[in-house]
Amino acid sequence: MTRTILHIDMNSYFATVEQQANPYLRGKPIGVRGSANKRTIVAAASVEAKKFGVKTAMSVQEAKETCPEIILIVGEPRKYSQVTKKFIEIFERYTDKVEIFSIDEAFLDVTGTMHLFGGAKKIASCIKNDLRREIGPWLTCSVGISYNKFLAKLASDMQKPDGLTIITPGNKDRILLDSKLDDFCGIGPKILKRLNLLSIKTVKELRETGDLDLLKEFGIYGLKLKRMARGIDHAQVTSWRNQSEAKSFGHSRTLNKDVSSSEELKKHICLLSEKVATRMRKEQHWCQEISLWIRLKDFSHLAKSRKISYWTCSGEDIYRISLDLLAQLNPTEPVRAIGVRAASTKHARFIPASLLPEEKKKERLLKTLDMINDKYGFYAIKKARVYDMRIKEVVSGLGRKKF
Amino acid sequence: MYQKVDQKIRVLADFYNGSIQPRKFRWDNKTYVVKRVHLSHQEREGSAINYNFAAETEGGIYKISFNSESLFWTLKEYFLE
Repeated sequence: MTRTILHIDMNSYFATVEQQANPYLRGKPIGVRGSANKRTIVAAASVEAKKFGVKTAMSVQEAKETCPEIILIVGEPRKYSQVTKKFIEIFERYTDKVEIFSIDEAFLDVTGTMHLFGGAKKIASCIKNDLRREIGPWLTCSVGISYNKFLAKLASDMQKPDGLTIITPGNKDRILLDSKLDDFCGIGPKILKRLNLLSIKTVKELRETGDLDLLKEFGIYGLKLKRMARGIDHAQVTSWRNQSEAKSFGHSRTLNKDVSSSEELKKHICLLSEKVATRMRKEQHWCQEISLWIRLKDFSHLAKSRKISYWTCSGEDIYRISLDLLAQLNPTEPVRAIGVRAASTKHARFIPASLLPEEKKKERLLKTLDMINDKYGFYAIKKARVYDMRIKEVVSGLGRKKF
Repeated sequence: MYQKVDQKIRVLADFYNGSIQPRKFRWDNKTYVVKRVHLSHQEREGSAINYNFAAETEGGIYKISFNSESLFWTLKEYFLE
């Protein structure tokens, strides 16, 4: 049975939400920045700012140079997460198979429901109307319709903003052969460079390259690249409600200034460890692997991870192991950014309960601390070690595909 | 430009059918009539929920917030062109 998949991409999402909230910003070049930190980047640029050449992930300084009129706004992740929740509610009116691809993109498999609404095109137009009516008229999306996820995503990227593109078996080859390799979801700058080194510069050349050459360079991913060039994708749309649980939990921060002092680095590590552990406990996960990464002043990257023999969801354990990892990394240059990650995770129901009284006591303490923070606000109670640090709340959903 | 305020304000609002619609508010000895709410969103603060509204009045956008636990309305920030 031929499937019908919609890919919906909210246009210039964070910037559009800000323009929706404030009509005085509409029609103007705006950028949503990460924080008041001088080193932050532009997380999203409005359609108007993009016309000046402002791009996502540009530094604030670069964005101001590219477009001196740009209005920069500090983003509010919780606001965007809430709007995402609203548009997912709208999508679920038309199918139960809604896969959240990122905070501003989703796949909808409407194969089994489109006859109820008059077809896929009609569903796309109903969704556009619902979004305008229920969230706001400034919020637009581009919709791609096709018979697999890869082509639906390619289609939605073809007309922006507010587009609707359909790729059928009939027009598939023309569209694919007219596309650039990096138009494909899954071909970023690094893969593109490696393809170019193999003298593959067009979709046609990728189609004609032998499987063995691709396997040699990319492993199994090489065959996937070839399937992309032919528009083949058998991946299913998995409802976000059934998506597998997180495999890792990580937090990082770009520091306001380069840091050399190990005492200050320890404070940041402590804070990040607590954030990782709090989120794990919220989602009832325990971990058995801790990683620490740092980016130095010269943008070089150092990382180290350690497997541990026991399960933990305690910030103190993560902090202690991260400090060991920091000592091993022994950064000789000032640190620009730092991150802590917990991996090899399991849901608490699969972890055998400890019988040791001191472990039980620790668990009770953590549970009580979580309850206090839950009632009185994020980090109403926190470690003395980080009492003077500004702590941003963890926004559930951003990057977890759960809202 | 945006100006942060964070002051408690007096608000006249409709609570109807599970939604809140601010109609007027008083701040700095002046009454502001809400012409339109352009975006609303909720956020948790401990066990309380803050209901945030981007409310347009004559000449500006005011971000006002209702706390479900304290029942206070707060003017968080405003934007004047």
